Amino acid sequence: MSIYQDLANIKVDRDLKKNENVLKETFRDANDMVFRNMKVGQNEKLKILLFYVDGMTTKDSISEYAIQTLMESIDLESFQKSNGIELENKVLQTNIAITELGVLNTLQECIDKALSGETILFIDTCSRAIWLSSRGWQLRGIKEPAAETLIRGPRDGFIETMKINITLIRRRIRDPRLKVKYMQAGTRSKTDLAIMYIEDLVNKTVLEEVEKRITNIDIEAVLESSYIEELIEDDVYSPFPQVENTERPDAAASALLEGRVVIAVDNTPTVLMAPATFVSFMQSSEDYYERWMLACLIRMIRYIALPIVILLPAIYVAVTQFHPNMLPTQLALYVAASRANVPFPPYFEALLMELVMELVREASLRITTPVGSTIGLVSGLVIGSASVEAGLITPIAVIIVALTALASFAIPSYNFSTSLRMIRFGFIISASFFGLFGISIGLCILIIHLCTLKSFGVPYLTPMTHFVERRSDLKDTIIRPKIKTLVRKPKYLQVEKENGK
Amino acid sequence: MFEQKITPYQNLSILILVSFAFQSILMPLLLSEIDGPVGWMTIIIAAFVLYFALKPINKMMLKYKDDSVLSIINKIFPKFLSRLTGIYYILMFLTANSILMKDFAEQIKLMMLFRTPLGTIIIVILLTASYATKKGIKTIANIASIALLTAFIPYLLIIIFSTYYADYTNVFPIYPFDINGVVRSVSGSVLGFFGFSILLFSNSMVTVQENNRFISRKFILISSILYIACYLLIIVKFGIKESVHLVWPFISVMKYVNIPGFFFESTEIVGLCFQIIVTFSCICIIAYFTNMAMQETFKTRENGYFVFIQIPVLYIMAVVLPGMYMMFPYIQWPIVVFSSLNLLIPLTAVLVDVRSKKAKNK
Repeated sequence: MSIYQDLANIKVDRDLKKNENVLKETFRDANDMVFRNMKVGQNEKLKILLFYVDGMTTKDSISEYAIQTLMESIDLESFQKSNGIELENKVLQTNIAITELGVLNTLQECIDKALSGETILFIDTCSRAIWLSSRGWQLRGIKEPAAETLIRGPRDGFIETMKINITLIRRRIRDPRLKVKYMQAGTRSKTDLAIMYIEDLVNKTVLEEVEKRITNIDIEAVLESSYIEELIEDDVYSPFPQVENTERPDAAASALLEGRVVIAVDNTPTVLMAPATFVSFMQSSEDYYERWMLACLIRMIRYIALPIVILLPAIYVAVTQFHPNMLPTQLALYVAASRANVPFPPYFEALLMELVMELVREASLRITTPVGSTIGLVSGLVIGSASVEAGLITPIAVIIVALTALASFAIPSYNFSTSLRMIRFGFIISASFFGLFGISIGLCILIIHLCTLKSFGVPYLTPMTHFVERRSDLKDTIIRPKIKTLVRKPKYLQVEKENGK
Repeated sequence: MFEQKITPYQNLSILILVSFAFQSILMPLLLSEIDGPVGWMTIIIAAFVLYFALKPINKMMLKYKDDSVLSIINKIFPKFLSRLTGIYYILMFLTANSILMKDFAEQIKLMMLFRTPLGTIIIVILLTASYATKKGIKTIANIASIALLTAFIPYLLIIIFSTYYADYTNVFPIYPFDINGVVRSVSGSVLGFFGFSILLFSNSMVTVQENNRFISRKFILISSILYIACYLLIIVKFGIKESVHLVWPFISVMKYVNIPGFFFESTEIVGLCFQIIVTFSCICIIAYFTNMAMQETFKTRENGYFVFIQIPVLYIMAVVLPGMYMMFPYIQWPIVVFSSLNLLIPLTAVLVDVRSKKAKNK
């Protein structure tokens, strides 16, 4: 058994040197670990060891409020003669002026705390170590998230430090019933995460399920919240996301107030919200910041965009290839004339253009923002017009693809929009085989899949699947009702307490 | 973790959808059997017959909570009779499903895919339906609700907008009406309320079974209104003389739709797309309850894999059976037999149950 596996069983030794040796052996070749041996007390006879990670701690507070007071302590040595526990208590209660501290029994605990940015204090003759809160590193400023910009609404966004993210939510919900449970995931990364919920609003079954799934995570490292998302979602083979994510504190706070569970993960600005439904992916924070009538219009446009994203290229293929009789005569003649010089069948044309569109989108994402958008625009225009002139595609196909791309940007959730874009290819293929019948069958399969899908036990298509029983939930779907009428929490979450604005 | 049963209104969605599909199939029969535009009287009579039949049936089902009519029959009938009843239901559901599928596939072939073989269309529908059926009642109930919202309502709207060129005087004269025709076609109309046969199974899966009576009443009412409205629409659109020659009246109705701004020429194809979703949901529903009848007849555990037995059977039946419009001259008696048995079997069960209760009391 290696020393790493054995650490959990190794207790903190009364002999300072022994502890130091084990830790040094454990962190062999890790030059950022700092071991600072000192002698404190009036006669400088009491040996202590400070152990921390360079760059993760605020050294000033430790020097000022811990080391200095220990050095100036008059009677520490007298306690050394009695026993370790009295000395430890003395240090804990009187000598250190740091708000957060605690005792540790094993070396594994000491290492975990040190790697989280705390400073570990070993005192000679004491069989326990003391951790002193000293986390502190360079932080990114709180800025508006680039992927979730709003015209009206708060401009702050989450950052990579979990505790600051929790604070951003706490500032919005000053309720003692807002609970935060700390957990860890990743056997190596030991990533901190926090489950947040409002005690009297959350569905206890959902909460228990979230906790159970996070506890069962068995993975080496969690580097981003997407790891957690993938590991806790109900159906990993589904193209649709089953956990919502956001970088906006107001969106997270709103989810909490609806009775959902929020999962904040350290080292990432993206927090997760569960359960998620089809409807929740079609909503944006801004819907509630704009005047309700305008918000209604915007929402309706989104719901019009939805079938365009999924079906428009497939309908183009089906109509031109199988059902040209559906088109008005003049349009049918125009389509036939424009297709006369194109060597490819409509399905190939659609697939090709969609592929080019995805390429442009991906390329513009990888390039810095101002240049990226220009490249996207230019390549779209150039490739489109050049392809038409070269006789590779019809102008109608360019219009169809451009409309589809535009519609996909109207979907507020990037994850969800990507899923819709992905299934669009399936529809093009089914339309190329069976025309509109293929599209209808594809829709049936999509409906079956969505009807089976659940997010932490909540049906994905709710409230549409229970549109009579949960008709009160329907009012905040396609339209955004007046805030005054949004009295009830969503029934589908089966929250403990129904009323409350 | 959450309830696996269906809600009362999901049950209602299932019943309405299934009934609508069969009503549209059997509509030509109703149009051709009565001499005059008074088929709505037949529908009202059929609705009353079913309404009065449902009262004792629901009462009995409430007594045997979580039991379908077939499992109640298994408890109160001799083994041979209960087996026979089970086989009847299996065959009846299989026949109904294959007729629905065949009719549907023929419509698709004629309107959408002229060059695709009928067998290919049927197998595509069957495979998709089996995927849904295997997922269980909850998924099917969800599909029914979604189909009702996203397909059935637009489909009805298209039908409503198709009153272009309608002549409302076609609903007259009411008097003198063909009494013989009205009475003769009641059995066909009863069969049109196919949700009645489904309800004998689905009511046992509802969360709040006390609401079943209320839901059954709603089902009869809504289905009757839809049935009568669609019947009258066809009459006002085509007149009774022309209507009797229509193979698929609903599709024909949708041929001339006047929706402002609607630029598609062949509206019937758009309507058919919505109908695909509606009919597809019905196929899934019937296939699921065939599974259930198989389970209860052969006393096996709940098993979604029964649907794989159905695929070849349904395929062969759908391919072999002639189209519904070709069968109309020959199916008068089978329709009378089927609709009578559908009514008599549960009513007999009610009677036997009441008698056995009385005998016990004595």
